Amino acid sequence: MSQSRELHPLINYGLVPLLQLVLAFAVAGLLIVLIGQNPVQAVQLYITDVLLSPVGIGQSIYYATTLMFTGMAVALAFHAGLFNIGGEGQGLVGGIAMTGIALLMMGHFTGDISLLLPGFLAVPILFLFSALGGAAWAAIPGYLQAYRGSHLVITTIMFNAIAFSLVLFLLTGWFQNPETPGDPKSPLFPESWWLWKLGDFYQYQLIGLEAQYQEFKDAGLKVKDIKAQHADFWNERAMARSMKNSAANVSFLFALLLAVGFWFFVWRTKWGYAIRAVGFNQTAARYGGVNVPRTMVMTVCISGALAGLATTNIILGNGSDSEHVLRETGLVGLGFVGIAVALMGRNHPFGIILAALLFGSLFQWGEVIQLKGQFIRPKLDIDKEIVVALQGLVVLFTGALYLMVVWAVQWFATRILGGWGFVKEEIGEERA
Amino acid sequence: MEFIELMLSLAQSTLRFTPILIFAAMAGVFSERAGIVDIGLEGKLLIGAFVSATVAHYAGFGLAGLFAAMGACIVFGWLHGLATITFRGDHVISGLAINFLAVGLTKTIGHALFAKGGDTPNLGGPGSTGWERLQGLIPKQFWLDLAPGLSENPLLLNILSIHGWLIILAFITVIGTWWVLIQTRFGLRLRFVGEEPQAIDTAGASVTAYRYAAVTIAGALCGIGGAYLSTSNIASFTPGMSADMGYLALAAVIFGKWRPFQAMLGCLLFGFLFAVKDRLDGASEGILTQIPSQFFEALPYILVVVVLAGFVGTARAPKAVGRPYVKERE
Repeated sequence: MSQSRELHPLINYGLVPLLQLVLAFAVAGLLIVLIGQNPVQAVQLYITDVLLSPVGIGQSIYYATTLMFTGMAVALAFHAGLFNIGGEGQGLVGGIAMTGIALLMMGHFTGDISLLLPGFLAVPILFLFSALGGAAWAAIPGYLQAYRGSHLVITTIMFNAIAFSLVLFLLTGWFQNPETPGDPKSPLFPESWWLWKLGDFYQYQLIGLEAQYQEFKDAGLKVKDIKAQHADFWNERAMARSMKNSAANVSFLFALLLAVGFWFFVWRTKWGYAIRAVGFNQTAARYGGVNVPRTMVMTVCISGALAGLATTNIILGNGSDSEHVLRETGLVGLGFVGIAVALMGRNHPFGIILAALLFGSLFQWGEVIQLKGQFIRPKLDIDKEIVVALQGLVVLFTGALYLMVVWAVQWFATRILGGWGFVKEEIGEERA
Repeated sequence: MEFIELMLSLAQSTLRFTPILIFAAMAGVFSERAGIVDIGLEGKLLIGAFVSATVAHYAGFGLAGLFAAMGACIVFGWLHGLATITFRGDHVISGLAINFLAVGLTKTIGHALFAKGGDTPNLGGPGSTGWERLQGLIPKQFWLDLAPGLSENPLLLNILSIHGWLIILAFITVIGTWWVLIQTRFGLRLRFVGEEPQAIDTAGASVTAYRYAAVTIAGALCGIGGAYLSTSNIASFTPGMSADMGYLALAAVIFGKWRPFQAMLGCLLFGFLFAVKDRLDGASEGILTQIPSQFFEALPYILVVVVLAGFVGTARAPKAVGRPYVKERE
């Protein structure tokens, strides 16, 4: 078999993903040219308004947080050779479970608010329920895959659709916010349960800065005088004003911790060993004493729990004050993007963190193009859904056409670079 | 009487929804029987809908849109083939990539062409000749211009313009799919490619060629389905208008156990449930309002899970589905 030629790790983990990304971005750039816009401008906007702007970085981290959860959810299932594309549905049901317990505590059903716990008690409970909800929604497809042989991909697609109907049913009924009858959303979560976000710090700082500003004003200084005489103060205030809605929040740190936990679980525990064994070879795993069906169900449940947790970042960690609610949009497609993140990150938590940050920044890029493209000259008129097309290209080149790139690199390495030691020929290659 | 009226209107809207599902489902039958998992049905429907509405707008001719849609979907089918057949990639991942691309490309290009938030211009607006849309093969307007007296005889007018010919074509497609798959040598081999590719290889035929043929047919059928969606069913494209119909069609394929006629029955059932749900969303009173409309929305998916779980007969996918075929000596 031709694949038994092994590539140098530097090529395998460095060059190949890089080439795949370059291909995806090249095609996206071509698309921008085809619709008559300037790709250089789009890249400029990415650098100035996403990579080099504090607001851009903050928002990228916010999106990346959700993507780390959904990416790890997909990656864990991949390790067991399973494909969980139900992240979207599991996130929704995680949101339903979390909102259910939250509304119970808020007295939405009974009118009794004695259960309204303070944030430090309530938030862990909400996290727990979102994970439980996601796990429960994944358990049925997991069971059907493990014990009845129904294909996980198909069942999770069906469960995504069922979850969507379920959440609409709840949001137009039991979970409906009584103040907004036409708008299917849950009541607002109490402020004490919102996650600490980066913007809070600036909002707090801004109180002092605005007081200072008022003092300057009272002293009879004009705006341009303040700018000239107190440049440091002025910059600090501008920064705080732009950052006060920054949605990057503590669950990013939680996701980072979880990534370490993911690594430990998969590579350092017996359960992780069982999962990888099932992924490599089910027969061998069974022979080695692994309970294959049970391992499958466990994997899919943990995967679902991770997808369920993603919803906490969207509801509790939202940047907009009025959006701390459950909506039928759930993970807003980030559950699917988790697949791209897992593919890009090669199912390793470190890779997933990098890929999540990349995709997070691309999301922010889409927002920036939509918001700012109209105001720069010459006008940059691109729909923000171009980011979805770019995701498709990344999935295509890193996942579906993976071997195309690998074969090209192999051909190049063996024919052109020949004996440079980048390719190790396996001795005793099996030939039937 | 009221009940009969209700049933008639439900039957009518069922007939309107079902063709989309049938075209996509037959595409699914062709690919799955040849061993190709096609999650990308959804994306191809969307691409077909966009391309047909766009080309029909520029060409002023619905049939041009139809053929362009078939062509575009075949190209995406080949992309799926390139990834899964030639480069042995994962079928689900490739299909997902196509779905992402479909959502992103249609909206981006639609916005660039028409600047209407991704919508295409209305094909049936004032000043249209009637040729832009595909409700009839020959538009009613054409006959009315020839003989204005025809407006008093709507039935004859419908027959002359072959009104709803794509709906009829959908059912003909089912028969055609059955005939090609079950009655021809090509179909026999195609089914073997999905079950025992080695046997076909041994017989001296190319597995690769048959699988590419399958994705081509599937692409063409998705193109017709998409064209029906945007140029016959309604008169323009809106982003995301495929609304998971592709997944529902895939569900119908499984529900029908990978057989054309059973899949068609699945499509009719799902189309009926869709019609009921659609009616409930608008209704305020009547016999059906006791049940939430979301129940009917979810019911097709629940039914498929039940079938997949093996509680109703056995649902067995083609044996080699989703597996790349690698020749032994390579």
